[in-house]
Amino acid sequence: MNTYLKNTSDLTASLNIEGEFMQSVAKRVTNNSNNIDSLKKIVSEVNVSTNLFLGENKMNNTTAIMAGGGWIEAMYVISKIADKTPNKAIISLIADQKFVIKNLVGQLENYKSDKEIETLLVDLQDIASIYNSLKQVAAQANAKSADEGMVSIGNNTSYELSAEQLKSILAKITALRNKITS
Amino acid sequence: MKLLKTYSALLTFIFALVFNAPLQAQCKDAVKEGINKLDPYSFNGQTNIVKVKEGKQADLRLVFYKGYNYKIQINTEQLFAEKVSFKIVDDSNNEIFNSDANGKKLDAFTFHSNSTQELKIIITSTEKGKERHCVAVLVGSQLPKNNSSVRYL
Repeated sequence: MNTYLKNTSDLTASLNIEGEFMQSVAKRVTNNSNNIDSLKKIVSEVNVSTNLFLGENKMNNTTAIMAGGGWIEAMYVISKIADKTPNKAIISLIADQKFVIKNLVGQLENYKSDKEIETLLVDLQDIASIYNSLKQVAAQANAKSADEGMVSIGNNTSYELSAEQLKSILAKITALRNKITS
Repeated sequence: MKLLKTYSALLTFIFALVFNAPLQAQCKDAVKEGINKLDPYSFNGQTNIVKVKEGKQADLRLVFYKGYNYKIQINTEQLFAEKVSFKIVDDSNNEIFNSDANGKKLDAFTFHSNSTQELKIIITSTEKGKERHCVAVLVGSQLPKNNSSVRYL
Protein backbone atom coordinates (compact mmCIF):
# COMPACT_ATOMS: atom_id res chain seq x y z
CA MET A 1 0.00 0.00 0.00
CA ASN A 2 2.84 2.41 0.88
CA THR A 3 4.55 1.86 -2.48
CA TYR A 4 1.23 2.34 -4.22
CA LEU A 5 0.60 5.63 -2.43
CA LYS A 6 4.13 6.84 -3.04
CA ASN A 7 3.78 6.12 -6.77
CA THR A 8 0.41 7.86 -6.76
CA SER A 9 1.92 10.93 -5.09
CA ASP A 10 4.80 10.97 -7.61
CA LEU A 11 2.38 10.72 -10.52
CA THR A 12 0.10 13.47 -9.26
CA ALA A 13 3.06 15.73 -8.43
CA SER A 14 4.37 15.32 -11.98
CA LEU A 15 0.96 16.48 -13.19
CA ASN A 16 1.15 19.59 -10.98
CA ILE A 17 -1.74 18.37 -8.91
CA GLU A 18 -2.33 19.95 -5.53
CA GLY A 19 -0.07 18.22 -3.02
CA GLU A 20 -1.91 19.12 0.19
CA PHE A 21 -5.15 17.50 -0.91
CA MET A 22 -3.27 14.44 -2.13
CA GLN A 23 -1.51 14.09 1.22
CA SER A 24 -4.80 14.26 3.07
CA VAL A 25 -6.33 11.61 0.80
CA ALA A 26 -3.25 9.38 1.17
CA LYS A 27 -3.55 9.64 4.95
CA ARG A 28 -7.21 8.67 4.88
CA VAL A 29 -6.49 5.72 2.57
CA THR A 30 -3.71 4.49 4.87
CA ASN A 31 -5.97 4.77 7.93
CA ASN A 32 -8.78 2.89 6.21
CA SER A 33 -6.77 0.37 4.20
CA ASN A 34 -8.65 -2.56 5.74
CA ASN A 35 -12.10 -1.13 5.31
CA ILE A 36 -13.40 -1.64 1.77
CA ASP A 37 -16.52 0.50 2.34
CA SER A 38 -14.48 3.47 3.59
CA LEU A 39 -12.03 3.07 0.71
CA LYS A 40 -14.89 3.14 -1.78
CA LYS A 41 -16.21 6.35 -0.21
CA ILE A 42 -12.78 8.01 -0.32
CA VAL A 43 -12.26 6.94 -3.94
CA SER A 44 -15.72 8.21 -4.77
CA GLU A 45 -14.98 11.66 -3.29
CA VAL A 46 -11.72 11.86 -5.24
CA ASN A 47 -13.56 10.78 -8.37
CA VAL A 48 -16.16 13.53 -7.99
CA SER A 49 -13.49 16.22 -7.52
CA THR A 50 -11.45 14.90 -10.43
CA ASN A 51 -14.33 14.53 -12.86
CA LEU A 52 -15.72 17.94 -12.06
CA PHE A 53 -12.35 19.63 -12.32
CA LEU A 54 -11.58 17.99 -15.66
CA GLY A 55 -15.05 18.71 -17.02
CA GLU A 56 -15.04 22.36 -15.95
CA ASN A 57 -11.60 22.81 -17.48
CA LYS A 58 -12.61 21.19 -20.77
CA MET A 59 -10.29 18.25 -20.17
CA ASN A 60 -12.81 15.49 -20.88
CA ASN A 61 -10.21 13.80 -23.08
CA THR A 62 -8.10 13.29 -19.92
CA THR A 63 -11.11 11.72 -18.19
CA ALA A 64 -11.46 9.34 -21.15
CA ILE A 65 -7.75 8.44 -21.01
CA MET A 66 -8.04 7.77 -17.27
CA ALA A 67 -11.00 5.46 -17.88
CA GLY A 68 -9.01 3.64 -20.56
CA GLY A 69 -5.93 3.35 -18.35
CA GLY A 70 -7.94 2.02 -15.41
CA TRP A 71 -9.61 -0.59 -17.59
CA ILE A 72 -6.34 -1.73 -19.18
CA GLU A 73 -4.66 -2.15 -15.78
CA ALA A 74 -7.62 -4.03 -14.29
CA MET A 75 -7.82 -6.26 -17.39
CA TYR A 76 -4.11 -6.97 -17.16
CA VAL A 77 -4.41 -8.11 -13.53
CA ILE A 78 -7.57 -10.17 -14.10
CA SER A 79 -6.31 -11.81 -17.33
CA LYS A 80 -3.05 -12.79 -15.61
CA ILE A 81 -5.02 -14.43 -12.80
CA ALA A 82 -7.27 -16.22 -15.29
CA ASP A 83 -4.23 -17.47 -17.20
CA LYS A 84 -2.58 -18.89 -14.09
CA THR A 85 -5.63 -20.26 -12.32
CA PRO A 86 -8.44 -20.80 -14.81
CA ASN A 87 -11.62 -20.10 -12.93
CA LYS A 88 -15.03 -20.10 -14.56
CA ALA A 89 -16.20 -16.96 -12.74
CA ILE A 90 -13.10 -14.95 -13.67
CA ILE A 91 -13.22 -16.11 -17.31
CA SER A 92 -16.89 -15.15 -17.40
CA LEU A 93 -15.98 -11.72 -15.99
CA ILE A 94 -13.39 -11.27 -18.78
CA ALA A 95 -15.97 -12.31 -21.40
CA ASP A 96 -18.39 -9.74 -19.95
CA GLN A 97 -15.87 -7.00 -20.71
CA LYS A 98 -17.31 -7.19 -24.22
CA PHE A 99 -19.86 -4.63 -23.03
CA VAL A 100 -17.33 -2.47 -21.24
CA ILE A 101 -14.86 -2.23 -24.13
CA LYS A 102 -17.68 -1.27 -26.48
CA ASN A 103 -18.65 1.50 -24.09
CA LEU A 104 -15.02 2.58 -23.61
CA VAL A 105 -14.25 2.68 -27.34
CA GLY A 106 -17.41 4.72 -27.88
CA GLN A 107 -16.35 7.20 -25.22
CA LEU A 108 -12.80 7.51 -26.59
CA GLU A 109 -14.04 8.00 -30.14
CA ASN A 110 -15.49 11.34 -29.04
CA TYR A 111 -11.93 12.57 -28.54
CA LYS A 112 -10.07 10.89 -31.38
CA SER A 113 -8.69 14.24 -32.58
CA ASP A 114 -6.34 13.86 -29.59
CA LYS A 115 -3.26 12.02 -30.94
CA GLU A 116 -2.77 10.03 -27.74
CA ILE A 117 -6.36 8.81 -27.84
CA GLU A 118 -6.20 8.06 -31.55
CA THR A 119 -3.25 5.71 -30.90
CA LEU A 120 -4.93 4.11 -27.90
CA LEU A 121 -8.09 3.57 -29.94
CA VAL A 122 -6.23 1.53 -32.56
CA ASP A 123 -5.04 -0.91 -29.90
CA LEU A 124 -8.39 -1.06 -28.11
CA GLN A 125 -10.26 -1.65 -31.37
CA ASP A 126 -7.89 -4.53 -32.03
CA ILE A 127 -8.88 -6.06 -28.67
CA ALA A 128 -12.55 -5.25 -29.34
CA SER A 129 -12.34 -7.28 -32.56
CA ILE A 130 -11.59 -10.41 -30.48
CA TYR A 131 -14.63 -9.62 -28.37
CA ASN A 132 -16.73 -9.27 -31.50
CA SER A 133 -15.96 -12.90 -32.31
CA LEU A 134 -17.29 -14.22 -28.98
CA LYS A 135 -20.14 -16.67 -29.29
CA GLN A 136 -23.43 -15.78 -27.63
CA VAL A 137 -25.07 -18.67 -25.84
CA ALA A 138 -28.41 -19.02 -24.14
CA ALA A 139 -27.97 -19.32 -20.40
CA GLN A 140 -29.97 -21.92 -18.57
CA ALA A 141 -33.16 -20.27 -17.46
CA ASN A 142 -33.37 -20.48 -13.72
CA ALA A 143 -36.25 -18.74 -12.06
CA LYS A 144 -34.60 -19.22 -8.69
CA SER A 145 -31.76 -16.86 -9.52
CA ALA A 146 -33.92 -13.82 -8.86
CA ASP A 147 -35.40 -13.14 -5.46
CA GLU A 148 -39.15 -13.24 -5.16
CA GLY A 149 -40.81 -10.00 -6.19
CA MET A 150 -37.66 -8.71 -7.87
CA VAL A 151 -37.94 -7.69 -11.53
CA SER A 152 -35.56 -9.72 -13.68
CA ILE A 153 -34.00 -7.80 -16.57
CA GLY A 154 -31.99 -9.17 -19.49
CA ASN A 155 -32.17 -11.73 -22.26
CA ASN A 156 -30.75 -14.71 -20.33
CA THR A 157 -27.70 -15.02 -22.56
CA SER A 158 -23.97 -14.95 -21.97
CA TYR A 159 -20.79 -14.96 -24.05
CA GLU A 160 -18.32 -17.82 -24.32
CA LEU A 161 -14.63 -17.07 -24.18
CA SER A 162 -12.36 -19.86 -25.49
CA ALA A 163 -8.90 -20.58 -24.11
CA GLU A 164 -7.42 -19.28 -27.36
CA GLN A 165 -9.40 -16.05 -27.19
CA LEU A 166 -8.32 -15.58 -23.57
CA LYS A 167 -4.65 -16.05 -24.53
CA SER A 168 -5.04 -13.62 -27.37
CA ILE A 169 -6.67 -10.98 -25.12
CA LEU A 170 -3.98 -11.42 -22.47
CA ALA A 171 -1.21 -11.04 -25.07
CA LYS A 172 -2.73 -7.87 -26.51
CA ILE A 173 -3.48 -6.34 -23.10
CA THR A 174 0.06 -7.09 -21.90
CA ALA A 175 1.56 -5.57 -25.05
CA LEU A 176 -0.62 -2.47 -24.71
CA ARG A 177 0.21 -2.07 -21.02
CA ASN A 178 3.92 -2.42 -21.75
CA LYS A 179 3.63 0.16 -24.52
CA ILE A 180 2.00 2.64 -22.14
CA THR A 181 4.27 2.06 -19.15
CA SER A 182 7.63 1.72 -20.93
CA MET B 1 -11.07 -11.57 -5.03
CA LYS B 2 -11.72 -8.96 -2.31
CA LEU B 3 -8.16 -7.73 -2.79
CA LEU B 4 -8.74 -7.59 -6.53
CA LYS B 5 -11.90 -5.54 -6.01
CA THR B 6 -10.02 -3.19 -3.66
CA TYR B 7 -7.25 -2.88 -6.22
CA SER B 8 -9.74 -2.13 -8.99
CA ALA B 9 -11.41 0.53 -6.84
CA LEU B 10 -8.05 2.09 -6.15
CA LEU B 11 -7.20 2.22 -9.83
CA THR B 12 -9.40 5.26 -10.08
CA PHE B 13 -7.55 6.89 -7.23
CA ILE B 14 -4.46 7.78 -9.24
CA PHE B 15 -5.38 11.35 -9.97
CA ALA B 16 -6.61 13.76 -7.32
CA LEU B 17 -7.34 17.45 -7.61
CA VAL B 18 -8.65 20.32 -5.57
CA PHE B 19 -11.49 22.30 -7.01
CA ASN B 20 -13.83 24.58 -5.13
CA ALA B 21 -17.03 25.75 -6.76
CA PRO B 22 -20.71 25.74 -5.73
CA LEU B 23 -21.54 23.08 -8.31
CA GLN B 24 -18.83 20.86 -6.93
CA ALA B 25 -20.20 21.18 -3.40
CA GLN B 26 -23.67 20.42 -4.74
CA CYS B 27 -22.36 17.34 -6.56
CA LYS B 28 -20.44 16.09 -3.55
CA ASP B 29 -23.51 16.36 -1.34
CA ALA B 30 -25.66 14.62 -3.96
CA VAL B 31 -23.16 11.75 -4.18
CA LYS B 32 -22.74 11.39 -0.42
CA GLU B 33 -26.49 11.35 0.20
CA GLY B 34 -27.07 9.01 -2.76
CA ILE B 35 -24.55 6.48 -1.46
CA ASN B 36 -26.35 6.41 1.90
CA LYS B 37 -29.69 5.83 0.13
CA LEU B 38 -28.27 2.69 -1.53
CA ASP B 39 -28.41 0.84 1.78
CA PRO B 40 -28.66 -2.21 2.13
CA TYR B 41 -27.08 -2.55 -1.31
CA SER B 42 -23.32 -2.32 -1.48
CA PHE B 43 -22.04 0.75 -3.36
CA ASN B 44 -20.01 -0.32 -6.41
CA GLY B 45 -17.52 2.52 -5.98
CA GLN B 46 -18.30 4.16 -9.29
CA THR B 47 -19.44 7.75 -9.16
CA ASN B 48 -21.52 8.92 -12.09
CA ILE B 49 -22.34 12.58 -12.25
CA VAL B 50 -24.66 14.00 -14.85
CA LYS B 51 -25.00 17.74 -15.21
CA VAL B 52 -28.51 18.46 -16.39
CA LYS B 53 -29.52 21.79 -17.85
CA GLU B 54 -33.00 22.93 -16.89
CA GLY B 55 -35.52 21.78 -19.49
CA LYS B 56 -33.00 19.43 -21.09
CA GLN B 57 -32.16 15.74 -21.11
CA ALA B 58 -28.91 13.90 -20.42
CA ASP B 59 -28.04 10.23 -20.44
CA LEU B 60 -25.38 7.74 -19.50
CA ARG B 61 -24.75 4.08 -20.21
CA LEU B 62 -23.84 1.61 -17.49
CA VAL B 63 -22.92 -2.08 -17.55
CA PHE B 64 -24.66 -4.50 -15.19
CA TYR B 65 -23.32 -7.99 -14.56
CA LYS B 66 -25.25 -11.22 -14.71
CA GLY B 67 -26.47 -12.78 -11.49
CA TYR B 68 -26.65 -9.70 -9.26
CA ASN B 69 -29.45 -7.67 -7.77
CA TYR B 70 -28.96 -3.97 -8.42
CA LYS B 71 -30.25 -0.69 -7.11
CA ILE B 72 -29.92 2.39 -9.30
CA GLN B 73 -30.27 5.48 -7.15
CA ILE B 74 -30.71 8.98 -8.53
CA ASN B 75 -29.98 11.85 -6.19
CA THR B 76 -29.88 15.59 -6.60
CA GLU B 77 -30.36 18.75 -4.53
CA GLN B 78 -33.69 18.77 -2.68
CA LEU B 79 -35.26 21.72 -4.52
CA PHE B 80 -34.48 20.25 -7.92
CA ALA B 81 -35.44 16.66 -7.07
CA GLU B 82 -39.13 17.14 -7.84
CA LYS B 83 -38.23 18.49 -11.27
CA VAL B 84 -36.16 15.50 -12.33
CA SER B 85 -37.41 12.29 -13.93
CA PHE B 86 -35.48 9.31 -15.13
CA LYS B 87 -36.10 6.31 -17.27
CA ILE B 88 -34.08 3.24 -18.08
CA VAL B 89 -33.97 1.64 -21.53
CA ASP B 90 -32.23 -1.50 -22.77
CA ASP B 91 -30.04 -2.04 -25.82
CA SER B 92 -33.11 -2.25 -28.09
CA ASN B 93 -34.51 0.95 -26.63
CA ASN B 94 -37.27 -0.86 -24.74
CA GLU B 95 -38.35 1.10 -21.70
CA ILE B 96 -37.61 -0.88 -18.56
CA PHE B 97 -38.40 1.73 -15.95
CA ASN B 98 -39.94 5.18 -15.78
CA SER B 99 -39.74 7.09 -12.51
CA ASP B 100 -43.06 8.83 -13.23
CA ALA B 101 -45.02 5.79 -14.44
CA ASN B 102 -47.11 5.24 -11.32
CA GLY B 103 -48.01 8.84 -10.64
CA LYS B 104 -45.57 8.96 -7.77
CA LYS B 105 -42.04 10.15 -8.52
CA LEU B 106 -39.50 7.48 -7.63
CA ASP B 107 -35.78 8.09 -7.18
CA ALA B 108 -34.57 4.48 -7.33
CA PHE B 109 -35.06 1.24 -9.24
CA THR B 110 -34.14 -2.25 -8.07
CA PHE B 111 -33.86 -5.28 -10.34
CA HIS B 112 -32.14 -8.59 -10.94
CA SER B 113 -29.81 -8.75 -13.96
CA ASN B 114 -30.17 -12.16 -15.64
CA SER B 115 -27.48 -11.38 -18.22
CA THR B 116 -24.58 -8.98 -18.45
CA GLN B 117 -25.96 -5.97 -20.25
CA GLU B 118 -25.64 -2.28 -20.91
CA LEU B 119 -28.54 -0.09 -19.89
CA LYS B 120 -29.10 3.56 -20.72
CA ILE B 121 -30.26 5.90 -17.97
CA ILE B 122 -32.00 8.99 -19.33
CA ILE B 123 -32.45 11.93 -16.98
CA THR B 124 -34.89 14.68 -17.86
CA SER B 125 -35.40 18.06 -16.20
CA THR B 126 -38.90 19.51 -16.31
CA GLU B 127 -37.75 22.80 -14.78
CA LYS B 128 -37.66 25.78 -17.13
CA GLY B 129 -34.57 27.90 -16.88
CA LYS B 130 -30.93 28.10 -17.78
CA GLU B 131 -29.19 26.71 -14.73
CA ARG B 132 -27.31 23.43 -14.59
CA HIS B 133 -27.89 20.96 -11.80
CA CYS B 134 -25.86 18.08 -10.58
CA VAL B 135 -27.54 14.68 -10.62
CA ALA B 136 -25.70 11.72 -9.09
CA VAL B 137 -26.41 8.25 -10.46
CA LEU B 138 -25.23 5.64 -7.97
CA VAL B 139 -25.28 1.88 -8.31
CA GLY B 140 -25.42 -0.65 -5.50
CA SER B 141 -25.39 -4.41 -5.83
CA GLN B 142 -25.95 -7.54 -3.80
CA LEU B 143 -26.16 -11.25 -4.42
CA PRO B 144 -29.70 -12.58 -4.49
CA LYS B 145 -30.69 -14.22 -1.19
CA ASN B 146 -31.54 -17.33 -3.16
CA ASN B 147 -28.24 -17.37 -4.99
CA SER B 148 -27.86 -21.01 -5.98
CA SER B 149 -27.49 -20.22 -9.67
CA VAL B 150 -25.49 -17.01 -9.61
CA ARG B 151 -21.85 -16.36 -10.27
CA TYR B 152 -19.73 -15.93 -7.17
CA LEU B 153 -17.03 -13.29 -7.33
